[in-house]
Amino acid sequence: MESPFLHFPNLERDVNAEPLPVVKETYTESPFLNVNKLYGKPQGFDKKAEAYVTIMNELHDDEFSEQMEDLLNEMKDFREKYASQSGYMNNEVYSRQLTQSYYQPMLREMNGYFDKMVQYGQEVDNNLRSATDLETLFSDYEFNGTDLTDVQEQFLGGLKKAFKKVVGVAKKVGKGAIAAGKFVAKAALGPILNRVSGIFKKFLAGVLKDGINLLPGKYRNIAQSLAGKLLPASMRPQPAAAAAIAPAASFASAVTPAAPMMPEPDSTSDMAADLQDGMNAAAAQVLTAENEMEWQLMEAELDKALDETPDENEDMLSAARSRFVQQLNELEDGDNPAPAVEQFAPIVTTALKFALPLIGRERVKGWLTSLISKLITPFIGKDNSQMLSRLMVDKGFTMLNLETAEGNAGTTAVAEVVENTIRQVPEFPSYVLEDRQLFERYIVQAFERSAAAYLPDVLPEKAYDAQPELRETNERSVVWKNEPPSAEEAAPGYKVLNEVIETEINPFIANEIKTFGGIPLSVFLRDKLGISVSSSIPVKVHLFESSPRNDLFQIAKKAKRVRGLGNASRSAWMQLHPLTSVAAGLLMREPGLGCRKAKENCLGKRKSAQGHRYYYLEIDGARPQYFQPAKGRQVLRRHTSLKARLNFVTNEINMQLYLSESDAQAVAACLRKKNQSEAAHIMVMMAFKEGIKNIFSYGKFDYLKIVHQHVVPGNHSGMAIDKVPPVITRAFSNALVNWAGKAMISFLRENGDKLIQAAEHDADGLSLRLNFSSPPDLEIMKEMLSGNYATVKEDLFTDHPKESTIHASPGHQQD
Amino acid sequence: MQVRDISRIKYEPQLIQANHWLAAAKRLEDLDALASELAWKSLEQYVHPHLRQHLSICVKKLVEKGEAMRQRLHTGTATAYEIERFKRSYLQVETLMDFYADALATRTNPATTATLKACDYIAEHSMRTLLEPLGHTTPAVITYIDKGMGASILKAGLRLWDDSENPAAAIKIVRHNLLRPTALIHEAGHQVAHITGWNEQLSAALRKALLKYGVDFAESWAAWSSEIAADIFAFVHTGFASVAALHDVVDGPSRGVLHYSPGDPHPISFLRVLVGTECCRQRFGNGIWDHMRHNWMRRHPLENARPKTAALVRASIPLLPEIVKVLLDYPLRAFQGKSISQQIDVNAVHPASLQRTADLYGNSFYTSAPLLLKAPLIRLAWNGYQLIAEPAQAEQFQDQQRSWMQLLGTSIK
Repeated sequence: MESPFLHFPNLERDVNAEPLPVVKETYTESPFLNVNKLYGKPQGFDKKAEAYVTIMNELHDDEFSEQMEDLLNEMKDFREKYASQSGYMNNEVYSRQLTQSYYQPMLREMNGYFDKMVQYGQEVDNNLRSATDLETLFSDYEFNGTDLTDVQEQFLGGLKKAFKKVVGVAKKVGKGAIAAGKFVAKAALGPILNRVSGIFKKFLAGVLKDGINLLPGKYRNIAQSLAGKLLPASMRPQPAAAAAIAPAASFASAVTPAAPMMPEPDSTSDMAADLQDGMNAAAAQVLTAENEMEWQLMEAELDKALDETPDENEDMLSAARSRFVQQLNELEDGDNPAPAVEQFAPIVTTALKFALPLIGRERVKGWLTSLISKLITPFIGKDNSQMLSRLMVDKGFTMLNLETAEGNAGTTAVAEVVENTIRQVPEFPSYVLEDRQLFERYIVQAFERSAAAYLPDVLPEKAYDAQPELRETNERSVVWKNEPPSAEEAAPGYKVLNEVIETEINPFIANEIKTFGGIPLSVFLRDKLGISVSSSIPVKVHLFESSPRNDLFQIAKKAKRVRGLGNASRSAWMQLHPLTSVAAGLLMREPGLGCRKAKENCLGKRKSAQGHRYYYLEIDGARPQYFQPAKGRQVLRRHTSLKARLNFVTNEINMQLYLSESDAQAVAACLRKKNQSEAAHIMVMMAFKEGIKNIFSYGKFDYLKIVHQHVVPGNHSGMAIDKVPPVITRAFSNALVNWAGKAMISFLRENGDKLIQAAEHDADGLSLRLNFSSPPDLEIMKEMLSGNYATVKEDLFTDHPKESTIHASPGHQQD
Repeated sequence: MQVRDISRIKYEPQLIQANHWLAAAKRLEDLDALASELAWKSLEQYVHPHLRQHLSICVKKLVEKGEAMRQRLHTGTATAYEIERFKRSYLQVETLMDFYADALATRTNPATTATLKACDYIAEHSMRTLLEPLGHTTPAVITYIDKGMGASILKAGLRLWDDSENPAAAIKIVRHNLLRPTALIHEAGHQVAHITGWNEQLSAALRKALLKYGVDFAESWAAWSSEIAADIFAFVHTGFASVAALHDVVDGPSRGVLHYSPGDPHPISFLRVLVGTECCRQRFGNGIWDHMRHNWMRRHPLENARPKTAALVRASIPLLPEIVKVLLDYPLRAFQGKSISQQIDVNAVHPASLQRTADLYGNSFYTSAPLLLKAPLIRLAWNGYQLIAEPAQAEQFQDQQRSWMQLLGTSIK
């Protein structure tokens, strides 16, 4: 095995390889494995499941997820502020009390609203009021905003809308428009509203209790568990994150089925989406229950799920990390670090929720400890660690006291490298863990990658010449450094690159680089920051790497020294973009600085796991763009986007092409010129095509919703499209472009004035809502989503839908 | 408790003085006492932390200086002169703080705040259009309202009272012109001239071009270069609107309009307006500016001027086409060998072009914030032009101006 790190003087090699164990065959998951069971016959669809997904779909609201996300972030911010001022937050009980009293005004308003609604519902039941009174209450009810923050007020607005939707669905159920069963159809409105408001209160109480220790996936589990009662378990889609780490997951399931690896922790945005899904799932359960007992059982289950305690692994890891650094500091030149590594390694793997295979576990641990100890020995001891610290000071690491820092900076960096090396072990293919030589090669490679990122240049220059990959960069000598943790955190904060890179972006680069959801950077800069990249513009690129509990929100808030960041608002953290290798290459000619996670994982949605990399562009003149609605507070402007809902229950496709204010005005200006419908068509279709590209790739989470009896409804429903083979998805997306293009040119020629009217409205941008009824071959996709692939044929989607309609309306329209 | 013998208490006047001024300096550290939270928040996100940080640093340095002085007093090495010097430093920092406190205090309510934020933006936008392609950083702008006839600027980068550098361009806009703020662009012109070295180069260009008409004549025009450059900056950005606004500010009794004081960087007002109308004529052809010119010359006959001034004006009038050509088309190093009209497209503010753009965007011309943010100056130019071209509808145009500035101000934080 060759590695420059192995050529340090006191490194010895243990060459006694253990015999190779027999490699077991593992099964590959494939939807086609189910084909022979189905013989082309469509599966029967349960009416209750159909009602359930329809209700979930009706209750879903993208804006509410955003409002929830802002509330969760505000909560984090509140707790941290108090922590830094008083240190109170060390006491969890006291911290909860403080949080709850801070949110008392919001809870008071929320409870007051729900109580009023329930009271009105009961009065409608008793014929003391009409249904119209209830409608009027929805439109007229105003919260007392005196003691509320902007975020809380907006959240309550979202909650009001959510509850209004529940009432709307309850009415539909009552009228039989949604076939949810006789029990709810005959039930009085008051008790239904009482149950649903109780559920909403439970969720909110849970959020306030958990605060920043919100369990990733906890609320998604609730939604899935509730949905699982109605949907066949085998048909439930895998959560996105789990699918994204397939190699490790398959290893875990193949070798240690009892201890599967956890998916990457979710960001606040995911948690907010999961919370909404959980609330909607519970409300949908209420509205589809067949008797009162079902209501009670669901509530009991909810109470149990919400009681789940927060994860303490990260705290444990943080303590272990400090201990490991201390142990390394105490070692003298020539001492063996193996005992320290041996203690530290299992805690890292435990925090990762990664279980080494039962068979051979001790042996693998031994290999790991022995090799890592050898790799770090040259950095251990007073002289070595001081030399490393000096190198780090040269790289811009700020040391208040060099005397004390020298002892720590080097060993902290070594600990970082060790931890990151171990963190890569779950990504190794399972067979690697069974072959010592292979395992050692993988470990050395992982170590080199970690050292490239977190250690300054410690090797002779010729080593880097021979193996350029030992550095992350080509033209610069940079290193990632830890930002100090906040007062509340024991763990290190996020990481920043020690250099701010000055470069330029031009229109081609800005179009090519994609940010979250696959949106081109140029669109984001124009619609969100008011920067039109029409020529080369100078930018300063600030690079960050996340750590647990330091997601985008935390990074943006804590980066006080970066102009444009340093505050807790959405307008700050939204400006952090995923540093894919493409972005790193195009922006800085340094693709090696790109995030090491899979591209789809980086662009798909915001993550909070360790090691995701982000960049912030400091651009002169960039300003978050706000929209001031006629009523209410300022909100950030939206960017052009395309959303699609594939409704297999009603056999239709609804698409919403939202044109940002800039795009809307450009299209309207084009239409005002005579005979320019064709030019306007090209502009609209460019936005449509860009959107279609994302919907089935990076935008599955944000921009695609699937309503299907075998798909868990809600925020994650779009992920189910993975069940459809890519070749079919491609044909389908091409068909959507064709259908939309044909319908759009007719619309622009005949109804261009309606688009102009919508653009002239005071609202932010405009929405073009496209509806395709009974599109051809949608049934086949429906079958595929149920696991039946036998009906696939050639030349899919070649016909046109029976009916295509387009409506233009001002602003961003929800469904 | 033992009672102190008051006759034995030592009187330490220097320490008492030092304590007093140091305590006063420390009180300046509370920036929230300087301006209300609302006023601080009314600054743009990019200006706010920058300005606060600058002021904090100034106060911090002052306090450090005071503490060192008191330390030296304890060791007996400080002198009375040192205390006096610290007192002076305190007053300098206090002047700086008061200047910004007064400026921030004019952001009284949400409507005024939004209008001033719009002014900040418009002024900064005008500078960025020129500075960014030249590779210069655009300074932040803080505008504030004051009484009086004309606007003024405390340029960013200038040495301040306490010897620190001014962190932002502080532009005073006078109340009567708040909704016709082309003077902002004139003041922004001073700032870009300071950054690019435009004044000196324009002065040299005028001197060179006019030398053939006599040294004194050339020197007179060269001495006006700083104000003329600012006028030209306002013209290329807002066209006739800037000329009309200038006309209304400098108009008055003919003696004043025709007043000339050597050494004053402001040209004779009479000539300033004629330079403006000549710019319009050269760039836009015939138009309402020709009537303005005619009326201006009729209203202010040269008989009202002192003989020396009348001679200078008489000599200048036939040369205005040539002078304006130098002002608009002379290539300068400050603009990387290009002229100002090559750097900023004057045709965009041609009334016909403004009309076309306004028609193209229909009602959204004034109501779409992204359009306003992208090109606020053409709105200023169009509205300012219409006020003069269609005075019967002045009220409507003023309402439009107020609304779009409010919208612009509420669209940024």
